Amino acid sequence: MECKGLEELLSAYADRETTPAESAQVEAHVADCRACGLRLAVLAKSKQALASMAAPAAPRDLKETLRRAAARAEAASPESSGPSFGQRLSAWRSALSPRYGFAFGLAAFLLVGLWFERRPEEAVPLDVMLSAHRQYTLERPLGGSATRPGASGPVSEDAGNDLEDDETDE
Amino acid sequence: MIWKTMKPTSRTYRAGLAAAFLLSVPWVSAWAAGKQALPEALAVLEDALRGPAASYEGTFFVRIGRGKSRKSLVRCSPAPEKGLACRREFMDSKGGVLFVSATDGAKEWIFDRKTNKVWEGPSPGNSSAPGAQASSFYRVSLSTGGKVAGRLTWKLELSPKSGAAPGRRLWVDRERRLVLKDETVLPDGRIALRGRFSRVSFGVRHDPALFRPEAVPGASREGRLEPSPTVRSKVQAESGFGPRFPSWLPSGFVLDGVDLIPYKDKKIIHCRYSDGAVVLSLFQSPPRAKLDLGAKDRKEVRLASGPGFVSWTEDAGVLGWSSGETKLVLVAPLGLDILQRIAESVR
Amino acid sequence: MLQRFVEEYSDSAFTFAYRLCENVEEAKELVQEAFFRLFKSWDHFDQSQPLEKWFLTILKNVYVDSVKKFDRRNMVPLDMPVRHEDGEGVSIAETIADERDEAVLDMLERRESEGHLKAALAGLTKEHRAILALCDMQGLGYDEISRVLGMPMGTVRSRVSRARTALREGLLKRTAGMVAYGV
Repeated sequence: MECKGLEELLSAYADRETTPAESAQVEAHVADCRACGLRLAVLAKSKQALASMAAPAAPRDLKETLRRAAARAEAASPESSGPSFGQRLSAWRSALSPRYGFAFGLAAFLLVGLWFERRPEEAVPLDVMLSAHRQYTLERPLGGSATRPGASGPVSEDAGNDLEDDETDE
Repeated sequence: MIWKTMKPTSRTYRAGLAAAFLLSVPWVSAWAAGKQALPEALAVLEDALRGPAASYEGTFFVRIGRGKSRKSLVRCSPAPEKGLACRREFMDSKGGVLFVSATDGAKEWIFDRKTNKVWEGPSPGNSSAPGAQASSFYRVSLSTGGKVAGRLTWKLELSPKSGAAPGRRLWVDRERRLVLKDETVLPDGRIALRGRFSRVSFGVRHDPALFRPEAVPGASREGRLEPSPTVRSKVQAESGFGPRFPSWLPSGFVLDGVDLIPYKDKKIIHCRYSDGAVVLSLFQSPPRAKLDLGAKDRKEVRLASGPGFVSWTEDAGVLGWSSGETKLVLVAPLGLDILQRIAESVR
Repeated sequence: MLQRFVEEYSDSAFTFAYRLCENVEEAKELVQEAFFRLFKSWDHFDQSQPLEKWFLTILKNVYVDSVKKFDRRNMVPLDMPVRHEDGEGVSIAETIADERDEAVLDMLERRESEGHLKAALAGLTKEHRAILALCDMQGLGYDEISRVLGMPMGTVRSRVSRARTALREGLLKRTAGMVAYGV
């Protein structure tokens, strides 16, 4: 098994997210390959280092705010009362949205791409613009020779003027 | 070796021994050497973007993508209080001039022989803090470059922080800080644009007349960056919305023409710019029209005027943004910092 | 129930938000908003589900909001994913393991490594930071991460790998003498 392209597999192995067959592959390879064994060690170590990084705790004022909001939310919908309009509305919204019912979250997520909304029947495709630019690049009228108007760039008059591709003095 | 002369029991001896050991490890010694030899990347970038203090002359080749190189003659003279006076001429094989752009630091004058047109307008000038501007878009790193045009260089790598956008590589003359080679690099490593000197000399004295406009009999005259009022009103009438134009473009660029591209019931305005070698397009879509970006690799960015995106094609960088109700898209084989500057100047 | 949820998960949520935006005030805002949104619709949540499922929702809200917000510190450019499978425009070449790993391993084992680690993290794109935060700091599995970030598990796997490569590159820059000035 080649080392190249193994990176992702090693990473998944370090996360214990490989199938049994993949795990066996990794273990067999690493037994013989010092470099990949070392890479795996680095992956494991960086995982551990990240996990043990000092995590800033939530500031007290944030916790207070959240506790109060939680208390309010719980008080607002006691179990005994029937569904309020707000609750029915929420229920309707959640029926439209996928599993976890984060109706607001999903709506917000949809808003992310609003500027680049893809409604083909109304939207102007970027590709049209890029083709037009490409066309202009090929015609490139300015700076060209009068003898070949609209050609794909001056050719004959550059003969002898060209900087060779491999002319590099590095 | 220093440690040999010290007493075995002293602390400094042990430290020296440790240091000697560390320095023998290849990557550490590279680090030690590097720390002494290389200058500050940002300082070199500032110098490079500002330009050299001495006047110079050279042969400069421009190559777009994998096309043929175009040869030009470049002559520049720093003009005190005005900036840089510069003249660039593209020639044909017989030495005849095809295209000239000349600036005295304040005014720019461009001539195209084929179409017999002259453009005039204010010179773009330099931004006040070119290094700071560029460094906000890019991660900047410096290493030793080889020789370009026979001269030793520093190589500056400007890689866009956002990805999905063109970056730049500059080879800067170590002594004079002139950019001897300049590449626009696309995210996949392809080179969209390369310009380089094959020969350069410094300290040459130039006739100031070289940088001033010349009379060209029979040539039509136009503004450098904006069309005549006739053309402008025609575009406005046919498109249904006012076209906007950048007020800043790199030196040598002129408005080549304005087209209207029909798309379904809409019209897209296409402003075409060229500097005789490099072409640049500015597209504008009708108000409230949405832009379908397809499956392009891209990143969202933020301009002063509002949200935008960067993307790229196999031969150009793309910068799109929203201004008022119009969507604008800039396409050119230029680095992101330059694209941004053009975009911010659109009025 | 909600109060218990707050007690158990507000710290973790804040940690995640902080890792994303590296700013206490912004992190507070993100967490607050995420929790408030959840509170608004909590009564039709399946309350028999473990609280941890709700926590994934919080993480998702935090991530989505942080991505929507423009980074005020750098006007441009921004490293935000735009519905693209792989947010990076540059393909990070997969490097064959080599002796530089020794240097990274060595550094990670030293006591002062946390400073370097923090700096290397700060140099990553937001998406990379997010996925490492979820995987290594929150300890989520790939299936949970795929739910939080809204991407297929295959993508999670490759994205985690790339994030680690990017982190390793960042750490390497702080060990050996590459002269790199991240501005």
